[in-house]
Amino acid sequence: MKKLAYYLFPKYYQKTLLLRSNLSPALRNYLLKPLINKKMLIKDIEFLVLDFETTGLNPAKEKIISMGYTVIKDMHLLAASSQHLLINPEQSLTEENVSIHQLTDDDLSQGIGLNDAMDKLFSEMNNRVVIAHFDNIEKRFINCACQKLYKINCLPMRMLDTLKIENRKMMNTKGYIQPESLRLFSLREKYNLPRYKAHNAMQDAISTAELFLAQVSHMGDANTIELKDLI
Amino acid sequence: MDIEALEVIDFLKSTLPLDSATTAQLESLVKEIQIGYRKRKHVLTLKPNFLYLVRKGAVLIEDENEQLFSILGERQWFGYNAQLVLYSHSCQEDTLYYKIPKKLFFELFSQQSSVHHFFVDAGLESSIKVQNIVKQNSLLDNSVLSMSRANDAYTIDPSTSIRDVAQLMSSKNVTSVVVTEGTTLRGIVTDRAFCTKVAATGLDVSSPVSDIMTTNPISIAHYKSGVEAMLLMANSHIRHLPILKNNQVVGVVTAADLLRKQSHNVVFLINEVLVSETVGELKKISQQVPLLLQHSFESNMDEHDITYSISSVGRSINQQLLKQAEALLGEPPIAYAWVVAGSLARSEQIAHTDQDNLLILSDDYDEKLHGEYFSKLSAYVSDGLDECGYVYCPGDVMATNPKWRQPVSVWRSYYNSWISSPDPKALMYASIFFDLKCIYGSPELLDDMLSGVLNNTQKNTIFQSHMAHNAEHYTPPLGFFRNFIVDRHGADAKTLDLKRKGVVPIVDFSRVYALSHGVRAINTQDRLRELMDIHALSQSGVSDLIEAYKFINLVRIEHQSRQIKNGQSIDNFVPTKEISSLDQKHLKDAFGIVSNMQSAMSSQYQTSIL
Repeated sequence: MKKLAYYLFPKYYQKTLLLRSNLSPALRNYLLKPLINKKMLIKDIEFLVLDFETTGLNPAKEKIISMGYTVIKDMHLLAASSQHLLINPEQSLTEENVSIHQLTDDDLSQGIGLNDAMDKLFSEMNNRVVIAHFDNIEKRFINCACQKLYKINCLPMRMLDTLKIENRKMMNTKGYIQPESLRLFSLREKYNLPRYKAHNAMQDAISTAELFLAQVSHMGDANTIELKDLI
Repeated sequence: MDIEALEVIDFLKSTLPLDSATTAQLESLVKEIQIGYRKRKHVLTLKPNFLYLVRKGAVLIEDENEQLFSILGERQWFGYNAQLVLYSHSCQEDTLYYKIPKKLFFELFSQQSSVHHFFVDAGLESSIKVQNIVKQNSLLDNSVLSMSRANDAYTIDPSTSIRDVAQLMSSKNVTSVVVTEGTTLRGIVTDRAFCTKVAATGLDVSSPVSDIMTTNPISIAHYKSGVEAMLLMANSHIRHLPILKNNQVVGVVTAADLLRKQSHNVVFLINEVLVSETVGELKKISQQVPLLLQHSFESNMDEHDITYSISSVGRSINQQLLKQAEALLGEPPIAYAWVVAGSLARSEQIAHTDQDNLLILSDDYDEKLHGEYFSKLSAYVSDGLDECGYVYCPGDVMATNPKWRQPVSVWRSYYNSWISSPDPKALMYASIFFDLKCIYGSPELLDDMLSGVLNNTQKNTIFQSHMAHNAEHYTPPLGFFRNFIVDRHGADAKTLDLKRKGVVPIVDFSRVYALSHGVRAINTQDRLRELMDIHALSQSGVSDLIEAYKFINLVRIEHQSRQIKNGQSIDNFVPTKEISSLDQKHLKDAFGIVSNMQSAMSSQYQTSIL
């Protein structure tokens, strides 16, 4: 029911969330700002490009171990805004996790708690549109964290997915899609973007941000594209 | 943020001029970077207070007349020059670029003059000039004066007794003294004179030194290079050279001084050539030429000096073969000039090339009387050259071909017909037969033959246009690195022919201008400098072109030197992966310069109407 309410009456839903007393100041500030209007021009919007690293795919069982993000303003990525947060999962990692992320228990024991990480994220998301490549992971883990910390099942967000943007484009032009071709790595190559060696949440967020800039540039005049054209 | 983890840092660190930046500087720099992306053909709007750097892709710059000005690739900067900001910058490819506030950038590097110079001097998006500032400094150390031992020049009066001179030389441990009157150089006395002129003849040692000195000795200007001094010594069979500055003796350089400074031994090689009596001996010496190239390159010799040395060895091999032939066949019945063409004539040889030579005979030539002598002479030299690695010319431009073994009057008629009816074959011959050098026999014959010819080329504008058109045949591969522009000649994607694509266009260009302005010099750099002196070409144009030429040639020499080291046979095809990204950038700049000069030539000589 609540989910439906969010889709049908987002402003009302946001107001009801603000009535709660358990919200952190960062989350409250976030909810105070209305969502970005879909008719707003892309060039006037600030974006927060996100990448999470998690111990697995199921948000109910698995944990976020790092967050990387960067900001796009005036259609330029601001390198100074790039951040990498390590999150203490309060559990031991499996060997598989370590081999993928190159993050060890020792690294992560230095990390911050999930609530602090989410607060940082809320303040960065404030008045911005969120972008991820294959946003399912980020969206579900954010919602799960909100559920865990604040009993909010569905956080109001404006979110773009560079994978979906490309998917739609390919369906329109070619009519079919090879799943491999939608991977971040393949798409970057397609747009003549450099190949990066390092893989951590921050570098991947930057990679996604550059891909987004490339996609928009190829869509035509950035001065006329509206947010709704990308959703 | 964890800046050090960003790939941007690595990228900047390996981008000129930031190679000298500290980690702290790079981290402050990264904080200010904005990353942008524009698709192909997008015209960029530059903001004057920002500096731009191509991260990936390519940016095309065109001037107000929509003429190609430059193409920038990865790691190249734009927007730093207020004048260039007005030019059109468009994306030649999908391009990811970095944008940095100028004020912050220059504040950050205010202490590093190299960073500042990089942008100040980079007029044509070119860091070639920057590189040359460094080079010029090292060239100073290459002067002959710097190679002589400072206290070596003892000057004495002509009236000093032989005994006093001997005592001075012995106490100072020098092998020569210079005899001067006032400040004017009068002679030189070497230790050898005491053997041949004093001891051997029993001369009274109280006689004045002027009795045994070599009068009016060969001298050298203080700024000349060590290699030039060596070659002067080798060619004149002397071992001591007074060094002059403003006609005053400032030092003496000896062969020993020079050899100490030079790890390679072009002089030894030439000396050995001069004493060899058979083709077999010459062949052995000639096999040392690749090593000479490698050593010269590795000891950081200037490109001009390297090609000059290699050519000198080639010339002396020619000369020695002619001496051997004359010893075998007897005195020549009439005067002749042995003339070489091509890179050997221009002193631009870097490896064994095919031989291009011809004979100019005096007009006393009578086929019945003299034909056999010169046919045998040519055959001996040509076969000998082939043995020595200077293989037969595939186009048969050799003195063994009767067509190219003719008296002056016949040669003159050849030139007249080439100039008056420049068909493709004539133009091909013209490009060969205008770079000539007589290296044995009577040089007057060549001068005699060419005297009228240069007048004709200077007057005949149709011939000039044809030559210019011909010189457009080879163009620099502007788009070679990363396929910016598809190469019109469809060059092999993996290697770059630096001779045809880089050197030949400049050589041809210089020849066209030299011929149409009556410049007699043969060497490409000499031609360009003389053209500059008579204002036929601009000073900046010439210095850019010479730098470009030197740089392209140096990359070519480096490539061949590497092949020699690895025991491979030598060629001019440089694999791109062998060229460092820095050199690629310089090469691209150099090609840009050549391309600009070529288009200037095309419009000046109106080749488009042909």
